[in-house]
Amino acid sequence: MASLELSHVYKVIGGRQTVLHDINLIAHHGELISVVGPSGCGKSTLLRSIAGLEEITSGDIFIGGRRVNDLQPQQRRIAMVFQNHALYPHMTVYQNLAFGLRARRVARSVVETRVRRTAVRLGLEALLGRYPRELSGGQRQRTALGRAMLRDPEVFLLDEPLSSLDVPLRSEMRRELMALHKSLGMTMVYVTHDQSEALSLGERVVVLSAGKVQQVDTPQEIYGNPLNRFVAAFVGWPPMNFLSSEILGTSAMDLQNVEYGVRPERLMLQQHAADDLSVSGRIECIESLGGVWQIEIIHNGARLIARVPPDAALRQDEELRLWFGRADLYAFHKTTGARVKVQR
Amino acid sequence: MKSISGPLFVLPALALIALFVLIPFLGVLGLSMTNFDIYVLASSANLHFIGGANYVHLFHDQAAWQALETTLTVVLAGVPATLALSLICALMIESIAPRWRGLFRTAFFLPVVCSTVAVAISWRYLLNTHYGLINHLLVAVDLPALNWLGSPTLAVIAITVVVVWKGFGYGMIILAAARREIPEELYDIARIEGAGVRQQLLSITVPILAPTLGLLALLDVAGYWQLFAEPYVLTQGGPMGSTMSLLLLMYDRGFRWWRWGVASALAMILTVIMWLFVWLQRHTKTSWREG
Amino acid sequence: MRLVSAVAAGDPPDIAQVGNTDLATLVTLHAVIAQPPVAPDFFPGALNVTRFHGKYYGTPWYVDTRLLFYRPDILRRAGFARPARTWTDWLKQMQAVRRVLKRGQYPLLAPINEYAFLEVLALQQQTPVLRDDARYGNFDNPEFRAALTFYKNLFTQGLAPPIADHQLINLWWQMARGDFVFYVSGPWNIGEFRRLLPPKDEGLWMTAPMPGPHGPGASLIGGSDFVIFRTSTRKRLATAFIRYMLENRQQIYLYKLTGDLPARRGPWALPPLAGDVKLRAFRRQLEHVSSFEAIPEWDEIMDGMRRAAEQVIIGGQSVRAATRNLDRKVNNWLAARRQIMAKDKTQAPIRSGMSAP
Ligand SMILES: Nc1ncnc2c1ncn2[C@@H]1O[C@H](COP(=O)(O)OP(=O)(O)OP(=O)(O)O)[C@@H](O)[C@H]1O
Ligand SMILES: [Mg+2]
Repeated sequence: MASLELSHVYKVIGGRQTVLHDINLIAHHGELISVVGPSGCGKSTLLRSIAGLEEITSGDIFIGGRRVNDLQPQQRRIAMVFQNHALYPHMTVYQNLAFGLRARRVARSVVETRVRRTAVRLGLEALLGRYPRELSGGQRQRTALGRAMLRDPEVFLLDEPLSSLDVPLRSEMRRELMALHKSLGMTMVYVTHDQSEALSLGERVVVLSAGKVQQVDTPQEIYGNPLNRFVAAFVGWPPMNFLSSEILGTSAMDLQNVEYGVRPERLMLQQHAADDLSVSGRIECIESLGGVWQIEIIHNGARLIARVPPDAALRQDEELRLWFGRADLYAFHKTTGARVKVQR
Repeated sequence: MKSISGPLFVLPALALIALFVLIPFLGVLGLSMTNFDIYVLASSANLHFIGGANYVHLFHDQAAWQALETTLTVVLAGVPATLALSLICALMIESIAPRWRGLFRTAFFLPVVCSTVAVAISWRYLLNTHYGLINHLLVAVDLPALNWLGSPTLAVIAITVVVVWKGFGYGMIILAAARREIPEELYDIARIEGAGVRQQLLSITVPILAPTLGLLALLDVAGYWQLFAEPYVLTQGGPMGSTMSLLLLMYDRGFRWWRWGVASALAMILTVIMWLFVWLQRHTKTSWREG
Repeated sequence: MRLVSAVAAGDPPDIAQVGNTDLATLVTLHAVIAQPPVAPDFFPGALNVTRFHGKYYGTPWYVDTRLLFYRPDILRRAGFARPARTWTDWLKQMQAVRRVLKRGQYPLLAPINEYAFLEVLALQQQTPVLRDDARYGNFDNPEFRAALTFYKNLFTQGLAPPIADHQLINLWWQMARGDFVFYVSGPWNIGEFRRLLPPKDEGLWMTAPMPGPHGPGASLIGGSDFVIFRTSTRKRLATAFIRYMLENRQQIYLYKLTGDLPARRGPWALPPLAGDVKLRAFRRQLEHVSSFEAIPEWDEIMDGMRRAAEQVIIGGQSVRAATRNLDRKVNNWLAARRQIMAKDKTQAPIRSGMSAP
């Protein structure tokens, strides 16, 4: 097991497009880091650069303290799992699992025992004779995982491995992955575009946007203490509500040139503290999600989303006032998007 | 209602097959067992059923065996050569810069869409003993000039070369498309696992393209058995009948010498040989898709 | 031939223009009617090839024969004023010519995939190549063997290259370069030489009658005949049309258009035919033409003869073995004809060519 360090990593394509911009990142020995960001922000490029599948333009990458910039992928002691599983269609599960060992000319008997052991661990032992097209999505991804595990990597790279699976299977696989990480104890970098997956899986989360790292921190900090408007908007579902200072209509805070934000699950139907703030508007729609209701209100043309306990008194098109505590209010600089501290 | 609607739907297709495949086939089969020739055309009273006599005649006909040997040679040498060249060019084209790709693809595909006659005539010039470019090149590197179309052995080689040159572009396009369908991640994994270029080719590219190669082999085999235009234009079957293909022989017998009975027997033999080859190929496992 | 298909389909035209073998095929099919000669001055050889069972089934329209095209300048350089008249002299001439040629040049061009030259050599002999009313092959006779030996020697002695006509790049250009000194060909090449070579090269080529085994030799008669189909409902009109097409004016017009030589002597006395020095040899040769029997199998037999010659020249087979083999094959091909003749002689017509009794 080893740590992973990226230092001032740039990746420029065609001399113009900067896909990765000054990436600095340290994944500690045995840590599970998740990388999240919108489509096209450079997540795959980041992972492929670590793997050595892409050459970086400048900067350094260290694995276990060793600079790997000039090493071939197979020399970097990494393993990778792709979204589309990348199983060889003409090989059985067994052959797919054994591919790397065979390529490295490992003795037949060793291959046999190691493949079987991994297959048992992943519940694939009954499927060893099947071809990928005869497997379910989960089984395919498990096979891809098994193939990566058989590399005995120091750093495990996963590029959206679960995004082609349906939701229940995805959460089941996610639990399996976490268990696996715990038992193998290896350094993992997990790429996803799904922020909830990133939060639930990662010991630390990297938020990436347009090739730049926006924030690296624990899931709690990322959620509760976003460094900028992008992280605040990207993390959490439904996304944070943004309000201009006029709408908030409060004189208590007279910061210039800021935009306020409040998370939908922090909006309440009643006032709790004396200094609670409120905003009111017309109810545009009420959506029942079972245990909670999701309400959209329109205020001066701005749309706010709230998550509240079911309340039969609520009617569409009626005026509603929503309350929230001062501590739940975030402020961001209007032009830079940087977080601005509010005195509480 | 339900029970007859199914057959009803396939009826038109079956009728077309009967009209364009079965009836002509039976017609040729019937004709091959008669003495149909110019005298029969003069008076139908001369028509006789002669059973397998035409087949027996062909069995003792040295020219028929020669044509079989020539055609078989072109099939056995030409099909693997075409597939190899198609594959090499497809992989080459997919690996070069996209800017040049179109140019090469067009260049390699051009022979396929050119008229065979035009192609053969161009090759006639290239292969000319005294003035041809190929012999000039041979002489330039201190090799002897060769009598390409004048020597029985070389003529068969020349015909095979032209056939392959004319045909490989088609396979190349198909294989290039199939190659593009292979996800790049498969090669990424191979690189991570430390498989080299040669290993990637042999254990990923070729096996995955195997079903496509199998299909192309089938098409090529069927096409090359029907070798006709190349020897017709390049050598007219000569020298000494060395490049006479089965179809060319059939053409001579049927349309030049009016021996339709014998020509039909030849057609039947060619058909059976082709069936045999297709059957053989179907029963050789080349495809992982069929499991 | 498309006309055979048309006859088979029961839908032939009124008139057609056909070659000699095709004429025999159509007569075999009883598809065309006899018609008396429309003029008195046809070349006898040309008229003769349309005669079956004593009746004329075609009207010669234009004629064609084979003779020598050669390079007079190179011949002179080798010390000869004109081409030889006998085979022996011709051989000597070619051997002498070879000495003044460069490497890769040959005294003679005789494409081995063409049979006309060998047919002419065979025709110059007394013994026909088929016997018993063209029921059997008769190639294995001393005279044909002599012809084939003469032919073979041209190649084995290196006087002619053993190549097929498709191995030429450009015959006329190659003749003008001196790649070949003699070439046996037909009248259309007069037009081709003039069309494809610049006018200044007109003096580079000349024509001469065929040499023969013992003196000026015969050549074959080819060309095209008009036939009238049995099914035609306008036979009188058809005859009138043919008569019109054979008038001097039209015959000369055809020559100007295509270079095809008139089948009647009349137009030859008029310009431009009369004044053309290169046509003189043709005029003389046409008085000295002959032909073998015309039967539907003829082209196949000639193709077989050509292949037999190939076996001798390229394959190294002996002349004796080749002629025996050829007779065996020809006998095979004529089996159907023999059967038909055994039943009913009129069903298998034979033109009064030179068949052994
Ligand atoms: N070969 C290339 N040439 C040009 N641009 C490229 C190339 N590869 C990637 N890019 C660009 O780099 C950026 C990052 O791509 P990348 O695949 O890393 O995104 P991603 O975050 O993985 O997206 P997704 O979530 O959709 O997989 C994109 O804008 C993409 O267009
Ligand atoms: Mg990606």
